[in-house]
Amino acid sequence: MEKLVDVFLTFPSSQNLSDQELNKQAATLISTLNKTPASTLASNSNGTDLLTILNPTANSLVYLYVLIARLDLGGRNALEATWKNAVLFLENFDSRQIRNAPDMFRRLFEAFYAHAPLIAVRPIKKAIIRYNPSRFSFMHTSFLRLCLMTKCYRDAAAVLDIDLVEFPYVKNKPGETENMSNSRKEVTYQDLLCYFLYGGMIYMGLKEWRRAADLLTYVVACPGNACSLIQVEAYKKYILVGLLLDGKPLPMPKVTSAAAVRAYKALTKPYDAFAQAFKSGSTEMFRTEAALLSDVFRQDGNTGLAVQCMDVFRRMQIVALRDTYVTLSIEEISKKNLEVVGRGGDAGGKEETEGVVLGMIERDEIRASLSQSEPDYKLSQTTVHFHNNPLSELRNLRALDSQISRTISLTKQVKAMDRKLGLSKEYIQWTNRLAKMAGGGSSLLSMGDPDAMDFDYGGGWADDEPEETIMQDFDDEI
Amino acid sequence: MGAQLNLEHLSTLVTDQNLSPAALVDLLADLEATASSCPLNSSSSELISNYYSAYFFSLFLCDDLNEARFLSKRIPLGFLQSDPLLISTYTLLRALYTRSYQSIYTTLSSAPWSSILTPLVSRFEKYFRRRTFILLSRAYTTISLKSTAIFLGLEGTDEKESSIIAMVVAEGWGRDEATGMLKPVPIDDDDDLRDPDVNAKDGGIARLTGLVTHLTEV
Repeated sequence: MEKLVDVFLTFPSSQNLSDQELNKQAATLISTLNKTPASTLASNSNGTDLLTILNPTANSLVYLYVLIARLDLGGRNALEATWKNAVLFLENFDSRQIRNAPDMFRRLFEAFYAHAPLIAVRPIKKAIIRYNPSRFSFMHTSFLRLCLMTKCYRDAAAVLDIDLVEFPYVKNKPGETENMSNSRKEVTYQDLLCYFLYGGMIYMGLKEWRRAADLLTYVVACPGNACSLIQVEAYKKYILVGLLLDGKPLPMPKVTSAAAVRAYKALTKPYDAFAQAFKSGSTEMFRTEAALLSDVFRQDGNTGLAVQCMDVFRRMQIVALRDTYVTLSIEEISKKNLEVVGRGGDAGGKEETEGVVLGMIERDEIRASLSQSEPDYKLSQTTVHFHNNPLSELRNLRALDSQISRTISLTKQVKAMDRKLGLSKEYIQWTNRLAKMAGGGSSLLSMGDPDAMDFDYGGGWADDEPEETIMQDFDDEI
Repeated sequence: MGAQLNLEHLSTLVTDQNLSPAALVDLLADLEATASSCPLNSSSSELISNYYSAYFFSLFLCDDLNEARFLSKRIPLGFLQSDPLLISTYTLLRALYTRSYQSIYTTLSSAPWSSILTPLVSRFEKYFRRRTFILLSRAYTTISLKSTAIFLGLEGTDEKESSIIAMVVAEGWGRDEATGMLKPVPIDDDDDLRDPDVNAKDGGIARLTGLVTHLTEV
């Protein structure tokens, strides 16, 4: 045992090995670990706990194997006993080492995940961010499900805000059928759909409608010959989120498969009716429709969203008054009886309406100002003045600033992806085939060369006219 | 699990004025696992209720009412409805959510806050009053003294009318002597509350031009 411990501690031989060297050493270590019986791994060395000798960061790989060995031998209560170590590991492991043993990592993750929901959230969040957050993994969907169950939306958003740029891909080995390769796949089609649906739901909880709509679009437009029920659920929410965002349903994404479009049309009729009533702008009609559909919403678990739509309906109607009036008293607005939710109390009353308008001004949903007429609170009439002047310059600048930063980071991602794909075997084979078809002459050099590609790509962007125009506009604004 | 959950630690966290609200939320969130798995009994309930209330207040300071609402759903319901401190915090959450200004200030000033929470409560009251003041400056062109006092939670306090007037006039508001109405003037820069580093306008423009140049070079 002591000899083994020495072997374990010598990996990795130094902290700053190249990836290649590290993977080579890891392979040797893993073969040793696989040969070592679990009982040996789980035992103590010289009376001290092996896990206290090992460092979860420096000796991640061994640490993981020891944890798994204890779980295998200890049965039900093992996780209870090793919980602290597991947390320590998940929060501190070295992702370069662990990527060599994905199966073991997954086993630990699943045992951990099934344990106690709420206390698992933050360790798992840290683990995902450590592992490789921009690559979709088996952890992503489970994590979001966990967050939804335990209502940890803020933690979920920390992971969701990182854009995914990579998906695990398993190539069929020669002579292998689809079913055989399925068992080796890290994630399934459903995992991916669920991930985006859950992600959309998280952003709905956070009221970030734009992001929610984006994620739902991925589900709605997912390619396939048939339509998954997950997609139908997503489409229902997609309609409601559209209303919250723009006051009208978002257009069906252009790339939606024909089968999916047919399914949506057939299965989401009530939602369509709701959206039409919303769009009509008639309070009476909308109120009737909302009352009719409350059961449907309840069954689908969309009541919360629908109620928010009703709130937004009122606010959007107030915004629409801007087209007709320059000034309008709060009393007039509350007389228009735009309140649909039916909360009772003073909802829809004068004071409540003033509060609603104040909130709208705070959130920049409307450009307006309020003025009270009398010092006496009871007699005072509040008037709304609608403005047409745009948002303050500072806000514009800030919005522009964040847009540009985002564009830059996206451009970087795209370039990195482009380079990676350009260097991949598949792409080079494809260009080779293309060159042969075109009638000989090896164009591999020019086409496969990543630098040449970079040049093409970069040149195309820099020459774009619109870029210049944007510059121009921007100068004018200052 | 690095940090310990105990009253001393909690007290150092909430009194640290240098800690930004977001950082405070992060530190407190790390303790939630310990708090939620801690068995509730008469000896632990003081710690747990103080912890959760502090967590709520740090979220209020971040204007993250959504997460505060979700937090209230993560706390065992029986505890939320029976512990006096949590009842007060939850009342405040509801008042903030529905913008009941009167109820917000009453709760802040008269609820039985614990000695540990007091620094956070006063920090939030100050923050909230400032935020509301900026909103009023932007939203109203004419407002009565009475409404201003309600919005800023100065109604029914010892604060004299003249001192309220002096306070708002110092911020640039005007006053119509004939009617006694106040004339708010927008405070353009509302950044002083949150990101002090980006409020320099010229710096902002320089940064933007830098970014645009970067884009054209891509």
